[in-house]
Amino acid sequence: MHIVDGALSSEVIVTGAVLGVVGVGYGLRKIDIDAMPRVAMMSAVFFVASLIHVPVGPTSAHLIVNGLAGLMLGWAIFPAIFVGLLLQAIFFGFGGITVLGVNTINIALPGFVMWLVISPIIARTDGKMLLMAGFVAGAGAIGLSSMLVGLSLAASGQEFITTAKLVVASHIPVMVVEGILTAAALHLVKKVRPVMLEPAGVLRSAT
Amino acid sequence: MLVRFLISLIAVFSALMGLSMNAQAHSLHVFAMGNGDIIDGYAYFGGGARPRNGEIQLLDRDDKLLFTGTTDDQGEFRLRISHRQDYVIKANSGDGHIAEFTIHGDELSSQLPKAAQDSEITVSEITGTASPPKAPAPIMGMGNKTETDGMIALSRDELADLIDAAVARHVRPLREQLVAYEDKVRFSDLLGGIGIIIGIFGVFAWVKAGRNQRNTKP
Repeated sequence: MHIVDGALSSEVIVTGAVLGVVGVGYGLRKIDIDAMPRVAMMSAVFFVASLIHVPVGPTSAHLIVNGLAGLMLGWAIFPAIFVGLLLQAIFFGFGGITVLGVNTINIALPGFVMWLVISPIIARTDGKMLLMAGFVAGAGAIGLSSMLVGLSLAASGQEFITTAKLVVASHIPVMVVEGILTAAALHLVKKVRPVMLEPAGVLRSAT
Repeated sequence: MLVRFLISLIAVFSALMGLSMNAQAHSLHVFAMGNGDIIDGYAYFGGGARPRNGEIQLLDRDDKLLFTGTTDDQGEFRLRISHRQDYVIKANSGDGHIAEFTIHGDELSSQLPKAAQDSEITVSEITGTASPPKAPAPIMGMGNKTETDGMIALSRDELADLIDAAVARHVRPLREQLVAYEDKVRFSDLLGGIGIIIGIFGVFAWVKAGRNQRNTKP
């Protein structure tokens, strides 16, 4: 999921950087003091989860938790993912500095989309439907991310169909695991502390 | 409540990290070594899996592309090169992961001609034998040894090649281990990262809170 330095053409990198700055900037304005711990926590969860690694078939995969992060953060997912990616790039050479914008968009945008689509449903449902919504959010965010990675690579000269197939195929197990994980986490949070799923402070007034 | 949730989450992940020791960056890596006139190595993902049919490129120190091929079923590749110089191996698994590895000219046989600016470097892929070479790579001029009383007369060059090959064979696992160690994600780094994230958002919260306080003062 993390594209490395040197894999993308400069047009894609610049586009990603511009979109990334817009997302992070707008996301930062949406964070207020109430939402701060939540953003920090999801940023840390993303940072750690995407470093834990499971070999899957010919490649190896890791969790990304962008679906869950999106549901809990809304706009604030952009700065949260950005900070996590920045530290991963500096500490582990995981991803890269020049592709930070592209990676931020590839990972955060699907989470944000899930927030737009799934959050209104979550507010109204319970039980099995809630679990279903969580699964869709978790799996859908990974699926969208894979497509975006395929698109980024295709825009840099690789053939889209083969690349997208490769990326999506290697993320199918991750989609399933993330779906289950997001559903479980959503269920737990809604039961224990439903306030965490509601937009806080500025986030609330913005919607 | 939030803080407690955060702490328990970190605790859970700490436990997870303790269990899974193969926590490595999901990046592509390449390992390669020069041995005689052969460069052999393999590409691998952080978790240990190997990319099949991953693209392999051999470049010289000026980034000039010399050879393009693919890895075999085990993610390995073997290339025979004609000149001695520094090479760069690039691997691309096709899904956004690229890795690089530099091979120093010193690792290759000293019998190979040194590459000059205008020398024509030929690279050929060796297929078939997937296992790493047990015997030193045959170098020109070898094989016609004169044997007397069970003693083999070797020329100075042949002896140098044999020693090179033997040392390379013994050093290889050590170098593999070193590279793997360097790529490993360490627990202390993870904790440091979490600390920095909390710190960044803490400072951000502090700045925002300060502004609010000022604003609410009469």
